[in-house]
Amino acid sequence: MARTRRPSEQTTAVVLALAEAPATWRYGYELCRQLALKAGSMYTILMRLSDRGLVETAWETDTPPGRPARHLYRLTGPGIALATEMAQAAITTSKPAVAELRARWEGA
Amino acid sequence: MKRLVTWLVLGGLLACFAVPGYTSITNGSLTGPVRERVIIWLLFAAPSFFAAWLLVNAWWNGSGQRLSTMDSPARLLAVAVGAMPETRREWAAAMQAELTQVRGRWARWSFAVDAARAALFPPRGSRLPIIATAATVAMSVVATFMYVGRAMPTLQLFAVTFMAMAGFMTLLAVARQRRIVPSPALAAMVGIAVTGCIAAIVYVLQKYPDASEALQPSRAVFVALMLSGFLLLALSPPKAMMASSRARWIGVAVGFVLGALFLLSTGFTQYTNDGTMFMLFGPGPIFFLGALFVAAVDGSFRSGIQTAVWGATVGSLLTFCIWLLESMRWIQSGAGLLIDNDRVPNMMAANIQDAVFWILIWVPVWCLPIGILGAALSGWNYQGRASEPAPQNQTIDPA
Repeated sequence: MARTRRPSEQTTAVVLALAEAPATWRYGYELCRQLALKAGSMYTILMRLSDRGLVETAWETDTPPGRPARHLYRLTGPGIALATEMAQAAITTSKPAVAELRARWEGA
Repeated sequence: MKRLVTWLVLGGLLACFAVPGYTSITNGSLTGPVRERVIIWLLFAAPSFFAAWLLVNAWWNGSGQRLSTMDSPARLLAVAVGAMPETRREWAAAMQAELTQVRGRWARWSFAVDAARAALFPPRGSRLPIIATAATVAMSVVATFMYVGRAMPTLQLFAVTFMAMAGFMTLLAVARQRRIVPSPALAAMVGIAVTGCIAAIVYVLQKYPDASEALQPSRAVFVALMLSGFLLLALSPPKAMMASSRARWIGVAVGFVLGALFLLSTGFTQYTNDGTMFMLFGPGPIFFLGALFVAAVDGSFRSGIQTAVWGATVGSLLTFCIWLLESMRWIQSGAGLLIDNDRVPNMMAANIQDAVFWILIWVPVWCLPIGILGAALSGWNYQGRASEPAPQNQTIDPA
């Protein structure tokens, strides 16, 4: 039996932020600034989500000369399904920030 | 920055040599006028300083130069991500690339410190291997404490220290998801050699219980640390030590040659009292030539270093074991100490002390630097490892 654990508030925020525009690739630092999350927390969450197949990663192309290619993230199909569940759960928890993200995702 | 690192390394070495040097110069271990004793100590230490300088230069030509072009937050993150498991290297590159987008000193420090935290403590898929390993290590240490304490109390500290260090380093390797036993043959060989050393110690102490005087707490801990260190080096070696198969196996051959020559020499030195001469002048050329040959063939200074390291590992273990067993044969045949045929009250204890100094200290401290000098002489190619390009899973234009 697979072990399930309720995702943390921070993980929920990251998933819903990515779900705002599921087809769009996002940068890690951009997510940190949007969600006011520290890099240590953000990358730990992204690594876990990637390990579980909920987030896919890629390296950008068309990199300006003199700087390295940046890592990109977006939700996979199962990740989008998880975002739906989280959005439903957020209705009952009344967390303003998460609820706002849910509203933005639903409106997208 | 290169100069700072060089001075730090040489200063650290000086601190390591200064205390034992002062002790041996003042306690009568070295005979003759003070000036002569200082010169002898300096000659003993010189290869280590020169080898350290060569290693710093090799490091600088590799990753050091790249570090010097970074600011402090980037350097901190570069060092931290170096500790990430191999399965997480893509994330290491990701965090470093992202730092280039962060502006402002405070923001860069904040990002670098937080990302370093994620690098040092990345998420683990399953904690079960770590928990299982920790439990096994704890049980082994307790069992060792109880069993050895009953069977052979004089060896209790040595056995518990060995088990605890070996267990701790195994746990660290599992936690870092480092590949364990990349070379089963090498690991088996070193494992057998370590077992042989431990068996020889047990056998000697059973035959000569008074020899336990040699295993006073500090020496017992030191021997346990060295043996467990050699074992862990073979079980979970750094990637740099496994880069060249030729270097590795020629290093093992160097170790066997050292052991064989030592065994042959004991047949002669029993009559010539020249054990000290062999230990002073015998091992050095073996390491020098072995590392020189490999560095020349591979065209790589680093390959020569690998040969020297593996030679010191295998050679120390073999020769330590031979020393203990030959000491017993000498005593039984009425001869004196293995090193100089002297006769002292507690012969076996003195032999153990000599073995610890000449094999577990002298061989690594003298022969390893000599090997590095040999590698430097023929490995003119000082190129460090090329920096790895960021892995490209897919190439996507995010626009």
